[in-house]
Amino acid sequence: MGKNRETGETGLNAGERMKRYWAHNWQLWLMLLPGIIYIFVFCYVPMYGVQLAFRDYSFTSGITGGKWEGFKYFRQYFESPMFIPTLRNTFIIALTSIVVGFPAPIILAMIINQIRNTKWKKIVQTTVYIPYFISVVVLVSMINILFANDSGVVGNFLKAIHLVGQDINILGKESAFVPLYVLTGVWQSMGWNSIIFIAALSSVDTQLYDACKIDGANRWQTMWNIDFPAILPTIMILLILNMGNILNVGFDKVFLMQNSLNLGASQVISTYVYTVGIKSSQFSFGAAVGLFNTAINFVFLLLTNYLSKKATGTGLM
Amino acid sequence: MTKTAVKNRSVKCSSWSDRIFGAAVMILSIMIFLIIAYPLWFVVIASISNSNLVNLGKVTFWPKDIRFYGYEQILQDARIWKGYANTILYVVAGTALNMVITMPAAYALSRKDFKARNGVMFYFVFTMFFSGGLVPTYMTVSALHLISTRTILVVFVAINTYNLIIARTFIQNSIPDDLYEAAVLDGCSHFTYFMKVVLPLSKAVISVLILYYAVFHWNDYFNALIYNSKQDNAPLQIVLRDILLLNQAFASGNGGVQGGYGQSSADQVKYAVIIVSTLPILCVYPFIQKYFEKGVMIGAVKG
Amino acid sequence: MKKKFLSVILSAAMLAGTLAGCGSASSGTAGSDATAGGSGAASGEKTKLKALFIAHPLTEDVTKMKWLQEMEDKAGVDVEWEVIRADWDTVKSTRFASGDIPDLVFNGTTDSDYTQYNGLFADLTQYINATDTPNIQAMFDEEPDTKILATTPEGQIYGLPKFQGKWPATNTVMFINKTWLDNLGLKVPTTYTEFENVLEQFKEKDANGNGDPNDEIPLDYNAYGGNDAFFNSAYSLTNLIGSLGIQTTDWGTDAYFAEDGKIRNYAVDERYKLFMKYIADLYSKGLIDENALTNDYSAFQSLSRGDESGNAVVGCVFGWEETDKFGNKLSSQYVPVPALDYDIDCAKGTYDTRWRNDYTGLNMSGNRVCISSKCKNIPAAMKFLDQFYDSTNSVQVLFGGITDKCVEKTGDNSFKVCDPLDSTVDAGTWKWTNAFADNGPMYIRRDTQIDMAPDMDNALKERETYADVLAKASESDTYPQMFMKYSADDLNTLAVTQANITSIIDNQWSLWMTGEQDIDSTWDAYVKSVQDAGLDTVLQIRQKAFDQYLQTMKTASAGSSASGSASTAASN
Repeated sequence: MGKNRETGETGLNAGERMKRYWAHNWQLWLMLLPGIIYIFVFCYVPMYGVQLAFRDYSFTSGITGGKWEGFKYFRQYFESPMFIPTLRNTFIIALTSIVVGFPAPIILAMIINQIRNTKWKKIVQTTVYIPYFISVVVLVSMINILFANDSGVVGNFLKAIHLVGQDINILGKESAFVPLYVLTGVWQSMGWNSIIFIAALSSVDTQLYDACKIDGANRWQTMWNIDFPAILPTIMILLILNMGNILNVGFDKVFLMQNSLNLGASQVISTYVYTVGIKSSQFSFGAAVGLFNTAINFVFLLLTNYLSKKATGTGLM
Repeated sequence: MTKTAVKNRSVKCSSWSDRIFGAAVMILSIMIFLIIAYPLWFVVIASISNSNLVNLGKVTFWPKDIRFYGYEQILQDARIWKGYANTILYVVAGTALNMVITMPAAYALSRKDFKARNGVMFYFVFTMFFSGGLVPTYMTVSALHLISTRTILVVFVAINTYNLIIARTFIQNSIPDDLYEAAVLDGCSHFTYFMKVVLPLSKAVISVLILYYAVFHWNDYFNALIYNSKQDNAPLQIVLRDILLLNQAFASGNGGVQGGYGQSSADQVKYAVIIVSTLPILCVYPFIQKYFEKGVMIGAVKG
Repeated sequence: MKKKFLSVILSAAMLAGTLAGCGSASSGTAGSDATAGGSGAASGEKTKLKALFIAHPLTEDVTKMKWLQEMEDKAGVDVEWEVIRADWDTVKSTRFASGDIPDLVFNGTTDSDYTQYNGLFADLTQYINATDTPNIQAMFDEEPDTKILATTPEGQIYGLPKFQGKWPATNTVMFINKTWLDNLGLKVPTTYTEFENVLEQFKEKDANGNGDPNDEIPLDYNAYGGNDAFFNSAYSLTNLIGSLGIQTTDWGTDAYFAEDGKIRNYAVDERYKLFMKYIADLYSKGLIDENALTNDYSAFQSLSRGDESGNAVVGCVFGWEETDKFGNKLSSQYVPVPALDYDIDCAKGTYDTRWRNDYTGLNMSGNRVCISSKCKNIPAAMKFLDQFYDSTNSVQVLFGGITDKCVEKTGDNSFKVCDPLDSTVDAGTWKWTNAFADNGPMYIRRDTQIDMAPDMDNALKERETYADVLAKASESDTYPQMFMKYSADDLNTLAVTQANITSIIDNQWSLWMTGEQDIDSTWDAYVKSVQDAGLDTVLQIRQKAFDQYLQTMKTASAGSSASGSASTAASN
C-alpha cells in the first residue's frame, strides 16, 4: 500500500528503492501490524455479509447463496411512505445533537480549565462525567419521572421559571421531543466527552501562557488565543468523526422515549427497521437500510474531512 | 525595573477584567454542577425509596419510606462477586492489550513522512462504517474456536479506530517535530524514539485511552452476550442484567408474575444497579485524572 | 453528542437488527460440536442430549428441578442444560444463522424461523404417533387446534405446541372502585353514558374521602412501551371497543379482527371513529390520566397501589387480577365492571356488545420446543419430550414438581398447587421460579382437576362477569392470529407494510384523544393515508390465511369440540 509512491529519488531501480523504503519504514509497519491483522480478521473477513442487502436470506445456501434481488429491499424502503419522515426525523435529531451537543464539552473543558480553586475543580470534573455511566433504561425512567406532567420536579421547575409554557405536557408534545432528547443527551455525555479536551488542554506549552501574560492579555484573551488553537485539531478530528456518524441516532434511547404523541418526531430509521422486523426478522431489509445509512454517513465523513482539511489543515486522511 | 512595571500593569489589567471572568467561570461551573448533580442525587435516593412513591413523583429531594431491598437483592446474589472478578480480569487484560496495539499504531500513523499513512488510515476508518454484520462476525469468531472463551472477551475490539485516531491526533499535534529530528541525529530508531520520547510525552492521551478502553470493557454487555454463553465467564454487566430482569415486573400480563410481586421495591434494583456497577470504575478516575492535570497545573501555578 | 467512544461497537450492535443473519450452513464448523453425544452410546447407557431453554428471568437453575431430573431418568436421557434468561432475541439470529444450536431448543423459536432457517430444525411429523409419543398424539387428537397450530402450510411440524386449558377466556378485566361508588351513592355503570357520569363524579368529588377532591384519577390505562401499544397492550383503552360490536381475539393485535368471516382493521372503521370521539370527550373533561401515555408498565402498576397514606387514587382501570393490580390492601375496594353498552346518540343495544376473547392466546402457544436437524438420536429426544405432555408431568411443568413440594397429587387426576415454601413470595413468582411454567411444553387435560392458588381463583371468578358476552363470539368472528400461516414473501410484505400502517395509527389516536387534532375534519385523510400505506394488501394476505385456517378447522374439527373452545373455557 503506497509503496510505489515512496521516495522521489530517480535513478534507483525498483529493488533498491524497495530496500531503502524498508530500511526506513519496517519498524513503522511492524508497529501497525497487530492492529492491521486484528482489523483484517475481525472486520474485513466478515465483510462478505454486506451482500445480504442485495440478496434474500437463505439458511441452507448461506449469505452468498441466497437469491439475488438487486435493489429490491432498497426500493422497499425508498418507496415506503415512512422513508421521508424517518430520514427527516433522523437528520433533525442528529443535526441538533451535533449543533448543541458538540460545542458543549468543549466549552465545559474550557470552563473547568479556568477554575482556579483546585478542590472545586476536582469536584466539578469528577461529577460531570458520572452521568455517562447511567444506562439508557434508567435515564429514560428518570426523564419520565422528572418531567411527568404535574408531578415531575424538573418539569415543574422549568414551568416555574417560564422556560416552558404552563399547559405543555413535555413528555407528550411532539415539538418537545427533540429538545428533550438532545438536552438529556448533552447532560449525559458532556462531561465524558470533555475529558479528551481537558487532556488536550493539559498539553499546552506553559511558556505560551507566560508570554501572553507579558503581553498583557487577560484571561479571556489567553483562553481564546492560546487554549482554543491548541485544541483545535482535536476539535476538528472529533467533528469529522461526529459528522461521519450522523445517521446513527442511537436506537435505545429514541425507542424508549417514543410514545404515541411524539411519534411524528421520534420515528427514526433505526426504530422503523425495528418495527419492520419485530414480528419476523427481515434480515435483507435491515441490511439494505443499514447499508444506505452507512453510505450516507461515509459521504458525510469524507465531505467534512475534505472541508476541514481545506479550512484548518486537519483531517483524518 | 521594567519587568516589575510590566507585571504591575498586567496585574492591574487582570484585576478588572479577569475578576469578572473568574466570577463568570465560577457561576457557570456552579450551575453546571447543580444541573449534573441533581439527577445523580435522584438516582441515589431512588435506589433506597419506595418505588411506588418514586414512580408517582413523590420522591424529590430526600428518600421516602427507606428500604434497602434493591441492594440486598444485588449483593446477596452469589454470582455478583464472580462477575466482578471476571470483569476486572477483562478490564485489566483487555485494556493492556488495547494499549499495546493502539499506541504504536497511532505513532506510526502520526509520522508525516510515512507515506502510506493515509492509505492505512483509510483501511481502519472504512471499518468504522462498513461491517459484515453480526452473524458473519460471529461465524469468524466461531471458526477461531473462541466462542464462550475468556480470550474473546479480552481480545474483542483489540483496537478501536476512534481511539486510534484520537491518539494519533494527539501525538501529531503536541509532540514537536524537532524532537524527532534531533533524535534521528542521535541515531534513534523509530522504536527507541517511540519508547523514550513519545510515550513519556503522551501521558495525558495515554490516560484518556486507558480510561476509554477500561470503561468500554467495564460496560461491555453486548459482546459478552453474543460471544459468551458460559455462566462462569459472565462479566458483571451480564449478571446485573439478569438480576435486574428478575426483579422487574413483567409487562406481558399473562397472569401470575406480577401478582403481588414486590411492586413497591422492584424498581429499586434498577437504580441500585447503576450505583453498584459504577462506583468501582469511578474510583479509577482520580488516579488517571492527575496525569492530564499536570501540564495545566504548572500553567496555572505560574500564572 | 452521542457516546462516540462506543460508536463502532454500538453501530455493530445496531446492525445486529439490520445486518444480522448472514449464515452459511455449508461452512458447518460452528454446529458440528454442538451436537455431541447421540445414539453412538452403548445400549443401556443414557443418551446424552444438549438443550437450550429460554427461561423467564425468575426461573432458577433447571438442574435443581427434581421433576425434570425424574423425567430425564424415565426417558433414559441425560440432558446438559443451557439457560438463557435475557435478550434472546438479540442472540438468536447469530446462534441460528451460524447453525450453532444444541439438540433441543425450548421456547426459543417462532413460526417464521422455520422458513428463515430452513433446514436447521428437524421435521417431527414422522416421529409423532400413538406408540412412540402417546401423549403428544393424545393432545393432537383431543385438541385438534394444537395440531393446526403446529403444522406449517407445507404440512411439517417443527415446533411442538402446548395446551394449558385452565386459563380464562379473557386476559383483561375492567375494575372500578366500589368504595368510591358507595361513597358517592353511585351504581356500577353499564353503559357509556353512565360510565362517563361516574367518571365525572369521581373527578369532581372527593371520592376517596381523604379531604382532597383533586387527587382522584377517574380512568387509567396502559399504552406505553412501543410497538403500537394502544392497540396491542392488554390494558389499553381499546378494551372498550367491544362495546361497538367489534369482536377482538387474542389481544386484538394491530387492530385486526374478523366479522362474518371477513378480516378488517378497526382503526379505519366508522365505529372506531365513534369510539375515539367518546375517548376524546372523556379526555377533554380531564377524566383520563394524562400521564398514562408516558407511564411505563411499572409506573402504571404503581399508580393503582394508592398514595403514601394508602388511599386509592385510581377510579377505574384495566388489569389481570385484583391483588396483582391493587395490592392486598386496596384489592377489596375494586369490583369488575361488565362490558359496557354503547348508547351515545343511539339506543342501547344498537351495537352488539362484545368483550375481547383471549382463550387461545392464553391457553395455547406453538413452538414450545423443537429439535435440531443435527440431533443424532431424534427418537430418544422425542421420547423425552413426550414426557412433558404426560398428564401428571404437564402439571409439574406448569406449577413445579411434586417432589419439590410445589404440587400435591390429591387423586388420580386431581392436583393441588401448594403454598410457596418461601412465604415471602407469591404464588405466581413461585411458579416461575420452580417450573418451566408457561414457557414449557405441556398438555393439561381439560378433565384434570387443579386446585390453584387464590390469585388464579380470583382471576377466574372475576371473569364470570364477561361470560355471557364472551359466549357471543362465533367462529367467523374469532381471529386468533397465531394460527395464521404465511409464506416468506407474504411475511416480508406484511412486516414492511404493517410498520408503515402502525406509524400512522399509533400516532393518530393520541392526537385525537388529546384534542390536538379534530376527529371529524381529519378522519377521511387519515383513512386514506392508512389505505395508501397498503392496508388493502395486508387485508388480502390476512384474508387468504384466515380462509385457509377456517378450511383446516372444518376438516379437523369434525366430531371435536375444539371450535367452541371459547365458551367451554368461560365456564371452566
